[in-house]
Amino acid sequence: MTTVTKDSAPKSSQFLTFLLDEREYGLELCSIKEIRGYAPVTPIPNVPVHVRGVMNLRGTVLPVVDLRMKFHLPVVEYNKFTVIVIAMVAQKMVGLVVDAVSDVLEVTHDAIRSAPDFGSSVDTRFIDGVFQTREHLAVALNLEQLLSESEIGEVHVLKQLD
Amino acid sequence: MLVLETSLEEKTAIAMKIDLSQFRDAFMQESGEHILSMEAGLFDLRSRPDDIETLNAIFRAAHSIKGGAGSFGLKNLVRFTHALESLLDRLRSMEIVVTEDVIRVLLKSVDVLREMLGSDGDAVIPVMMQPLLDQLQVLTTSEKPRQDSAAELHSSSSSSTEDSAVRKSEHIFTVDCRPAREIFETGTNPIVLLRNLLSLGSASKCQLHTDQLPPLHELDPEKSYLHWTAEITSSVPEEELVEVFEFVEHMVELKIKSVPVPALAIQEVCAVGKTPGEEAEPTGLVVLPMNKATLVTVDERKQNRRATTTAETSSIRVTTDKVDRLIDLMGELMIAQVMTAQLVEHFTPECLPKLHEAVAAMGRNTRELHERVMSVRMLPIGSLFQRYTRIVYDIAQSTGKQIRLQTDGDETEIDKSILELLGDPLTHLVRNAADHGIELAELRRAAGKAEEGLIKLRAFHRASRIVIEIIDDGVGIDTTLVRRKAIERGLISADAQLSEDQLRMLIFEPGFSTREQVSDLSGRGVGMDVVKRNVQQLSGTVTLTSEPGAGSTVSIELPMTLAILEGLLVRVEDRTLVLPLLSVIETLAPAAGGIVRVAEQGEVIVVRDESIPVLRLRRFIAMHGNGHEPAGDAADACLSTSPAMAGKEDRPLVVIVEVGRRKIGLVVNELLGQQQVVMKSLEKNLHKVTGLMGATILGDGCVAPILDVASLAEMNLFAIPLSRHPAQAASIIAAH
Repeated sequence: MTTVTKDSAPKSSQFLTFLLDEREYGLELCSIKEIRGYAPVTPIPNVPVHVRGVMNLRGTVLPVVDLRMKFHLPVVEYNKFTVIVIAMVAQKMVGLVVDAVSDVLEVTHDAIRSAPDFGSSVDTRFIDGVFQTREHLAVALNLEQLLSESEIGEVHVLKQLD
Repeated sequence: MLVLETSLEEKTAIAMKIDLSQFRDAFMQESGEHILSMEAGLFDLRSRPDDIETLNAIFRAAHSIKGGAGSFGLKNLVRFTHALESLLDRLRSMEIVVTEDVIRVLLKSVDVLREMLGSDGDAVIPVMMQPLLDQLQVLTTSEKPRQDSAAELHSSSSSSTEDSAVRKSEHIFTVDCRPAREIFETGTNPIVLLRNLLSLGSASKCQLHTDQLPPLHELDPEKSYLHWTAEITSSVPEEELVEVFEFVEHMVELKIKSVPVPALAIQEVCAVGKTPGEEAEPTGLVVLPMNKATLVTVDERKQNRRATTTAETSSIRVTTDKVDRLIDLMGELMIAQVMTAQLVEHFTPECLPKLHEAVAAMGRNTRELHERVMSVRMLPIGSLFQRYTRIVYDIAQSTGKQIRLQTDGDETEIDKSILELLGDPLTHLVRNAADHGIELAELRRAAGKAEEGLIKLRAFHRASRIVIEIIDDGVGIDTTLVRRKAIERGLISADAQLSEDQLRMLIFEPGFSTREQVSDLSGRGVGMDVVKRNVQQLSGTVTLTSEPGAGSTVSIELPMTLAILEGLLVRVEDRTLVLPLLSVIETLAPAAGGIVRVAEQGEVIVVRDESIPVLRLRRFIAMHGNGHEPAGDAADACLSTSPAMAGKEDRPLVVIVEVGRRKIGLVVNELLGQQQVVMKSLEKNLHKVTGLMGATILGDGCVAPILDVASLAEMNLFAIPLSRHPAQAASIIAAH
């Protein structure tokens, strides 16, 4: 019985929505490992500015990326709502600093519309589409793109110095 | 009831399937080990052809592979190992005598086995399989010569296989043909040329290159845009191939390379089972179906597979006693933990000494547990050394030299991860020693040396490091030649004062090795920069000594393990950094003005009449990925004379570290202490960060970066306003 209903229902996935500069964004829940309150991280030299540093998650050292900085949004002081979303992409674990988490929503794939050019400061490469939340429109982010090797910043300093 | 039964059956079927795949992995791994032991056995057999025990061991290994292959239904593998077994059996029963020929065929067979197993059993049939099967068949059925000498057998076996005798004169020609754009104007049809060419032999591969093809709207149908590369196995002389193009000589750019076919020819090429369409790559390569030959795409990487698949499986086999001891320790640790928990629960001040004791016991156990766990990762280096016997053998065969490889200290244990990274550098060094170091037999005789060249691989422990030496008794390195070449290449200035040692080390420079002539003249060079880079990556050092005419010794010194290292914790501003203690020579607190600024080049500190360049770690930690320092005029801030800085950097300390044979001074604010740190990779979740080896988690749970002194030294953070004087910057780099 259950399989029948599953097959006929439109495909959907769960999204974790969070706030970033008063706008809502969504990430597919299946790649999210956990959510933690912000705790200071260890800065690492020689990495892009948006990589705030590394943190220790039960013995694993993982980079922490400030999404505000990544999207060139105005930088704010971290407060008690600031959280680190731990995500797993392509075997790599990463922490994402966001203003606050808001909800977990079930979104059908049909409900995700392609991203309009709404003048957002977020690079459209990182956007999968937009979907309706209870009050707002949320931007579904493409985690793979966002954290691909080149995006997280493999920069060869030596070459540039030369 | 019926329904239930079927579902149960299905379930067991699924369970069986899963189990089988697990066994299959184990089989693949074990077969890998069998192949290694077969190869090693064959080399033993070469020196002691009568050793029945060795033969038995080889036979057992082949038999195990066959048995396993049978139970997984790998038919080709079974067929091949069966043929191999038949030959081995006859060797065992002394019906056939072990000769160089037999050994060669058997070694080739081992390669085929390896290839078959590497490609997941039966999926790919190696090109060499069929000809080898024939060869095995021929050898197996050959009559035992009556009281023979080896030479007699040699001739008889080659005459009995006239097929292989013919093959010996065959060559593989790689014909690269680029018809001129205007070729159609002469009325030539390039496809006819191709067809004629292919009629001269059997084509194993033909690739059409479409990269010159313009977009459709620019395409001129009267012009030829295509060119192709064909691989042809043929016994005809090269001239005959060129003849095909005789009439269009001026219209065709022709390149022909020929390689003699090894005794066992690639004659029949087997289909890989892919359709040509699948293989058409977006790079503009189209594989043409040929009627004479079946298609095969020869994956370039396949050639290297032998080097990569050996000994580098991602699991470790551990002896049971190691594991038993671990379990014991774990038990002790748990008892100590329970004791502590109880004491804490009913805590009274009187319990304090007991608590101390319990914690001390826990500490002891943890340390030992740690040591033992680390030892699980340690593998004997012999498994790596084994690989080079084959490489040396192959080089000796192809160059006609007589070379013997002798290994020493095979049982020396080294961390698995280091072992894996050591493979490539050692391959380069051994290959160089065999290829360029050891002379031809005549030359050696003329020089009064034994005809057989000797390459020694030695491994041993020195202090807490492992030393690996590659020693050859070949020509050695001519430093005057090195010097001349280095000046020609612009690596050093013409009047540079360099010691003999420094001159020799130049061969590890990237610019030095890439040129063909250099490697031929100096006898060394190809890939040597890889050696240096890899070893430095492992925080090791390379040194080279050489006596012209008497040979060279390359010595690699490495830490025993990468997973754990003795670290010096330092504070730089508000950050804690870890320096690998092994590279630290000394720490000192320079007097005011002890750090001197030299012209525009940076700062140095003079320690016992030696001036050592100084690097302020503050500059490094302030760096961001774009290669520039973030805010403020860092150049000015770094002047030791700047009064503002003097206040900030209360009392700078300098840690002198050793990088290869150079020394550099690192300026830190404070030394925090020394402790063992467990290395965590940054690459795993982030990427390689230049200047850092990794990170570690300190006692308080914080992360601290571990500095990579070697790459730090190369980052050239010494000089301050470098970007303003590019010319000078270059000269500094050259001077280093």
